[in-house]
Amino acid sequence: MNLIGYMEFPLIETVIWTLVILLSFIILLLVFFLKIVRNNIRIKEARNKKYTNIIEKLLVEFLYSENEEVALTNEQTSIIRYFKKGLSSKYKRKIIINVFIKLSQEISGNMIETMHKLYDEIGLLKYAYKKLKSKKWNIVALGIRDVREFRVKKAQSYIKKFINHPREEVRREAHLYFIDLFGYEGLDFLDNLKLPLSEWDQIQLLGKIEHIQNSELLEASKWLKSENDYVVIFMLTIVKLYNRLETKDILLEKLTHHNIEIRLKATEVLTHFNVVEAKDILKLTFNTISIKEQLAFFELLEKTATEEDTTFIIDHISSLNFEIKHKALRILNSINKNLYDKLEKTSDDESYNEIIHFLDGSYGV
Amino acid sequence: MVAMEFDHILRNILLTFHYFFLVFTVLIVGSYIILAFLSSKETKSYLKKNSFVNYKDLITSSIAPSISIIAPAYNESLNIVENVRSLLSTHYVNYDVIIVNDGSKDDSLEKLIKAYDLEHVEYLIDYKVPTQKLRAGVFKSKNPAFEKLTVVDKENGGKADALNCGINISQSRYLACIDVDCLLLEDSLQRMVKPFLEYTDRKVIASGGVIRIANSCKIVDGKLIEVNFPDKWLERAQILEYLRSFLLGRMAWARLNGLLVISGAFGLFDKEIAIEVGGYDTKTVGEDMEIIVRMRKYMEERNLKYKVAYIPDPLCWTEAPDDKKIIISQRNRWTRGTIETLKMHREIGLNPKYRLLGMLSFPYWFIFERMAPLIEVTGMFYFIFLYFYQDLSWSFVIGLFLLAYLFSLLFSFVAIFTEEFTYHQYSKKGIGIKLVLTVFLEPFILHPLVLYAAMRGNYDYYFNKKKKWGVMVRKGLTKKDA
Repeated sequence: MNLIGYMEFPLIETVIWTLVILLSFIILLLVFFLKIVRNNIRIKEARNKKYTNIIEKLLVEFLYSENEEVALTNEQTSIIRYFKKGLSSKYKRKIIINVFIKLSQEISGNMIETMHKLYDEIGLLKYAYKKLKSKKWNIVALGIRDVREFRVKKAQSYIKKFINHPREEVRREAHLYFIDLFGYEGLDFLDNLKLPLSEWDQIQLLGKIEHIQNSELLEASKWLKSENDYVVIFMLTIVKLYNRLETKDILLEKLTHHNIEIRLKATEVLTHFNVVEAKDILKLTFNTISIKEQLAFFELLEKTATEEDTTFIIDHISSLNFEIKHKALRILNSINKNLYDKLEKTSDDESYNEIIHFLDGSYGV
Repeated sequence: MVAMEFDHILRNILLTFHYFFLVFTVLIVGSYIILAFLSSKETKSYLKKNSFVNYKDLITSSIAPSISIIAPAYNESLNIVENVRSLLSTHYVNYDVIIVNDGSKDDSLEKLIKAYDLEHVEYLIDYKVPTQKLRAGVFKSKNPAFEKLTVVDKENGGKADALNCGINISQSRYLACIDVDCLLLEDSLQRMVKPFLEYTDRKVIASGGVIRIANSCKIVDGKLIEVNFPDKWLERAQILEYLRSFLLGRMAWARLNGLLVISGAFGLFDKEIAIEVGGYDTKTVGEDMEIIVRMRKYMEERNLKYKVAYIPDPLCWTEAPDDKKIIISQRNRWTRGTIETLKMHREIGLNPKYRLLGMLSFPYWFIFERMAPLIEVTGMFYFIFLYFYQDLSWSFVIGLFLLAYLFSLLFSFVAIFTEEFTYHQYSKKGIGIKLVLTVFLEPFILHPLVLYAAMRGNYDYYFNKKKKWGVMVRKGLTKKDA
């Protein structure tokens, strides 16, 4: 029975079968292409490994055949020739650079200097400068990494241009370049920084700062007053890590900063230093600040509270916030045991009872 | 006259069906093409961005943010000790591991106490999100080598409830919620936390990772030593399915910042926001999707800039079921979870207030995830109907089925090429041909099961409300060394 025999779709049918033939052909091609791709990947990996081993071996040989009496030994000259030959191929150049970077992180002393000279001698520096002029951000970032790894100080005028680059990856490499090569002086890039420093940036920068061998103290005050809030936050972290207590007055000013992150960080740093003066400032603003800040303040109180703070603490033992209530009761227990013991030990508030039970059991945390 | 009118009505109904299926097919194929394109752009961008990232500083940094790995465990006695050991060997400076024994009836707790020298400790818990009561309580190790480990023993309340308990216990800034039997690569936390730290113009509320299938892989002491391709077709088909889903679908949605789901097997969350929204919902079986939708909704309603990030690196390896019944049970649960979440948050759909979430992600999920199996089955019945009541153009029918089949092969190939050009995990010789065969057979091996499970899921959702999680039998990864 054909109820709707007139519903035929010759055009759709033709389209469908055309697509079927086309897709079948494409899929057949893909099957062969997959085979080729997998083979190529395998061959490329093996070739990379082989060439990397050769370069590594030659580089080590070069470094160990260093002779003070002659500028370059015959072996070294032929190695340089080999490297230079490899540079004309993009693929080989990439491997040479990677091996140079890897090895430069593993060696020390005079060898590093020899390697840096070799880097310049074979012409890799020329390629690094070329990368810095690229229009692609990732190539620029790689270029900065190269001149940083090989400590090319003369590239600083180029790198300065990237301090406020719109891509954070490029910016980050530029910042790392300055710290890595110029130590504390390199931090001057912070004067000109207009863009944010993410937490990730800060972790990377601190990683480099920790390796700076400098007997001088890091001068943090000027950056604590920076107009860039990110710079201020970064400096607050440094102040804490390097125990720069002389910045105390500036830190206290930051407790009333318009940026909550700065206020929080300042409270954290002042807690680290046990600065009692912070208590009065924070008590005044306590009712207007966020819960996060209130908790940060209670952490300061845990370290600095005295019997004189009893009234303030008592006001918060019935706080609606569990953590504040817990901290308040714990502080009271430590600064005014008599008063704590006189407190009602049961309440309608279940969490209050739990905290009291916990504290009376002297379980600690 | 009446017969003619009936013919006319029937013709219109059938025409409507014809055009509905045509439009749906064009839309679904079109959306896959767009997603494939977006995913390739995002993958390239990700690889470019991370090609010179230095994770070393994060491992030793004194300012690395704290992360709690929360792993709920229910009757995991078989592998719990090895699994915890694997979690404790993560390379990250500031983390702890919270194992929540969710009322297990086996000897999981005893095994943990013995293996890690645990002792009961008093612990003051702030119940920021409600959970079931503690049973034996909180345990810490007497051995300083395991100081990062906390074990909580509580009454059974389900996975979501156990995760909520972990949230209450955690003192960290971020929460890595994982399945206890998952194998995390050593650098997984470093990679997952990076997006949270690098954005300054928006808050990253969660990040999800790719889940890879570890069946047949060589695993020694909780470490992945060698990636192998399994022998069983069901496992192979799931590998292909995961590649398609994680490397194509989710990557593309990540580019649009429209991800609606982060796998429950491994996800990192901002604790503050997770608590603000009330933690995991214990009433749904799709808690992993539901919490992301709720967190996104929370941010949208407050007009806060945010991102749900996605890391395509193969960081988390898990055991896929090799039994049809278990696969059906698992997919049945996924279907019910999707239905529950979409229903719970239906006000988001096509609501311009929720911008991309309301106008694109949510409707897409509804049409192409929630409704797709139903439409597919309806299409099949429609063909059967036409077979009986109309002289079918077999050339049309076969052509259409072939076309659908070939498109599915095409997308599988796109996923495989993405894998080959990026992570190339299945590098061993001989796997290529197995992958090709899997591409051709997967629509006949796995797809019917998935479709059946989705239909069962729909049935259970509407007519069998009591059905909850279902059983997931694990064989254990360590024992399956190749």
